[in-house]
Amino acid sequence: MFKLEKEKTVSTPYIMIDEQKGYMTFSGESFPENVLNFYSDVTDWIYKYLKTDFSSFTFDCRLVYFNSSTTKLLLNIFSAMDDAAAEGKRVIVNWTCNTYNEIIIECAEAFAEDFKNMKFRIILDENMQ
Amino acid sequence: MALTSERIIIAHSGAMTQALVERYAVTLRAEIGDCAAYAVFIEMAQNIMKYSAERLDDYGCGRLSVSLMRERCIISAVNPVTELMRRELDERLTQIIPMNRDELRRLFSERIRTGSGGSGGVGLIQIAQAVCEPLCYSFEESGGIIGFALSAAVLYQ
Repeated sequence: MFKLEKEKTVSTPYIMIDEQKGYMTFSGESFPENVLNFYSDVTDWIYKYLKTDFSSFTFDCRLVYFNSSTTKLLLNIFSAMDDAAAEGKRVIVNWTCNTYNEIIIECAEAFAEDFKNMKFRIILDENMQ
Repeated sequence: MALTSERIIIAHSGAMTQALVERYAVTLRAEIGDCAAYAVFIEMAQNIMKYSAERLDDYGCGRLSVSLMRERCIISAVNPVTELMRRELDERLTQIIPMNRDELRRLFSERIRTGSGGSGGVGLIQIAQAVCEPLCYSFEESGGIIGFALSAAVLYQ
């Protein structure tokens, strides 16, 4: 079973994946120099995992800022998650945004509108930092 | 406007490395907190780093400044671009600048769905979503070099 934990830095988020629990979380900021390289161990795992016969997968996203390259990466991950949900698998995104961060909220809403098969919850938290 | 009403937080000229983007990001967070200007700054800094036509050790060169003027945070960038980039930027910005919030949101959804325009295209839409007055841009040619200038004003509480 795959497990991954990366500490956050100024430009990269805290990442935790626990395949046994069907759980992944990102929190912090994401603007690495090379997004594809930074997230390669996440993407290598998740695209294979989403094709397996898992019972439930939850992604808690608590990014306070992410650049446009990360937006594209999230889009690709959500697209694969939504495809898995379309096959009847239980896939949940809990996206927590600071109540006052309109850019992140609009981005989350755009994703939620585009991916209808999985459960996409947007949670507003005024204390989120 | 009197110069004394403007407070310059960052003034950069030269190669924009990832290490510098991170150092400036820490400074800016401490100065302005969770303001949309932060997102605009990082996007513009990384645009210089990745796309400037003038390179030094694989990093793009340009000028970037952040200043506070009354209730606004002004982020201004200048960097050399190629002729092809000039045409693409001009086309994208001509489309984006007159758009209202709903139109920008629809365009953002369309771009992320179709993957068109690359991450740079999505980044410009996100910058346009953050500003409190229309984005200003210009191209200036001198000695065969095309300079692209972009300025964004974001409300700062």
